Amino acid sequence: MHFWPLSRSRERMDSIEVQSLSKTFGRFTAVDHISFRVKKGEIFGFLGPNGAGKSTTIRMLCGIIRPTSGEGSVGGFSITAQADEIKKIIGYMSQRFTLYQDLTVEENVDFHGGIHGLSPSSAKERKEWVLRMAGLEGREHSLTRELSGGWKQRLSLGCAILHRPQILFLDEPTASVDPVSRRDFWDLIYQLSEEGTTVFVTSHYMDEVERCHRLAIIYSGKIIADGSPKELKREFTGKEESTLEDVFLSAIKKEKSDEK
Amino acid sequence: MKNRIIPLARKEILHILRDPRSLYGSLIMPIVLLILFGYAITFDIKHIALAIIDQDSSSLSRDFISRVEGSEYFDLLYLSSSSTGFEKLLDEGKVKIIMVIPKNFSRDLSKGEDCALQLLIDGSNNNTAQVALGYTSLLVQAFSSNIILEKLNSKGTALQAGVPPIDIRPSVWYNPDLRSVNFIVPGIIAVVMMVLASISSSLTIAREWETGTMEQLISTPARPFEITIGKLLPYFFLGFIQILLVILVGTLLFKVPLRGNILFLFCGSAVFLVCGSGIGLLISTITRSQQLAYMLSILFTLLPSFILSGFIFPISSMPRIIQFFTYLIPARYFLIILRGIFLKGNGIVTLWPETLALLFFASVIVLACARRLRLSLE
Repeated sequence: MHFWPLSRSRERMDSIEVQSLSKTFGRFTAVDHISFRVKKGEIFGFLGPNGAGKSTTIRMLCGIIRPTSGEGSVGGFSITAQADEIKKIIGYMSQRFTLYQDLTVEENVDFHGGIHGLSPSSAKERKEWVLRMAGLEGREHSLTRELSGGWKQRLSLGCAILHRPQILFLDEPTASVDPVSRRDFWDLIYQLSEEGTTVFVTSHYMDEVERCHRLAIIYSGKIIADGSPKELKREFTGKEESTLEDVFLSAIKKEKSDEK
Repeated sequence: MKNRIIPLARKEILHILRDPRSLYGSLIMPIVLLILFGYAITFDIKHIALAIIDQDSSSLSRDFISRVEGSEYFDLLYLSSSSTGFEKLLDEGKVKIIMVIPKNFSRDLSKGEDCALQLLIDGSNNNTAQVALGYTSLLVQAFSSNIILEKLNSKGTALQAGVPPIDIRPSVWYNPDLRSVNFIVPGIIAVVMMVLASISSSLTIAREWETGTMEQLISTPARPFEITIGKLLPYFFLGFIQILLVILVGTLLFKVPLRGNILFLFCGSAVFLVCGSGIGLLISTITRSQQLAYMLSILFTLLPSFILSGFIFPISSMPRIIQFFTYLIPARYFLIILRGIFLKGNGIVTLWPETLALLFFASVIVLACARRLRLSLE
């Protein structure tokens, strides 16, 4: 088995480092030899249409599924050999709403604190912080299923960052959320990034990926472009005032013509 | 290592409490089953509906009829001297047996000749038919030996009273009144525990897969075995509450004796519960859908522990091949343990082979679960 040299990634302060990572399900290749790096404290956007392999990549990085081939490291730990270590330093918010609907707000937060082994005092302090952040003070005892979309999403985020993860994985976090909630959400992401948290976020909303420090465009399992939003615009449309949507479409067009 | 089992178990208890209908259902179901089986399905056959066609109409035939009437096993519903239209009684299910006393009944008997008594039996329920046949034969035998005795006496043959020479004095141990409820209550405990344990454990895990929360759990530092134990622990205690309820209802309402050691009963139950939950866990590694998990649990636990455990059908009268399969059913061993403890007051000294077998099954199932769990996440 080939291990990615871990010491090097630490020196460079790369939080995530992926080399030729692939995942196949039967005959279907979901992720096809992708490579990229994410620096510490960076907001890295993973842009692509549905079914391009965004979620599969995130799930491999979080140690939920094993890659078919390739190697990567998250926070200096190998995703194939040290998944248990990775799970201690990451926060993961999946595409689906994964809090327990039949539990109250407080019970969900307490459960996440318990499973991450927070001490009673820090669990209490973090719980107060999450409830304030999510605007759920006074609704601690509401059942989670009774919350509206924006609240649920902020509560999910709160549970994902309750244990102060070094690296945060967000899989389409703003799907089914109203524009105001989305803006608040991104403000919070920026705040986390300034505090040193690395954020890996997938999306297919062009306007919000614009706010990432760097991004990669994934299309049928392959990364077809990566760089800062400015760089990508220059590379694919020649002008910085064009939108990421133009970049996205012309990158896919180029990829299709290359295939032929 | 930080303990993650406690928060997982606490969360599971909240799930159980938030769904009171399922909770009440799982507490009431064993008792409903017990009452259904205890009252409705009884193997003690009494009051068999009977019709007699008395073509002889003699004092001897009337004597015979009065003996039949006096028996609690038969209810004489129809009595007639002509046989016309009597088949309809069987067809319509009004009687289970028609007895035909032939014309020359008393003449043949008084001449000392053989006499045939015709019996028409409704064999659509072979169990009842066999029992009915048995009762009738006994009745007729007793009647004939009486006649022989009288004959011999009247001819002056010097025979002591008390003939026939061999007298059976049966003494039934453990269940002297042969009450089938004594037999059924231990069986219900085994079946209910097996079924409910496997259903609840397979459903609780399938539900986490269905809602996507399992993926969230896997992304946390909680390990698969911690997730599993934490989730199953509350159901394990629920299983014990169910056992307690069945024991209470069985001993108080149905007066089933509990002669053995309760502690041993609980220990055996704990091992058996591990088997049941483990089977549910294995099912949850095959399917992630609650519906399929439910059906598979019923298929793999209800039918085998009902049919192949010896709960209702005696294993010794099964075909050889089927008998072989019964050795693979944990309920088979647990049933022997339960009946031993309840009715015979047996302890570990007598029941160690079955206890060992259960322990063996429990460890095989737990090992299989650990293996499958690791594989299913990759």
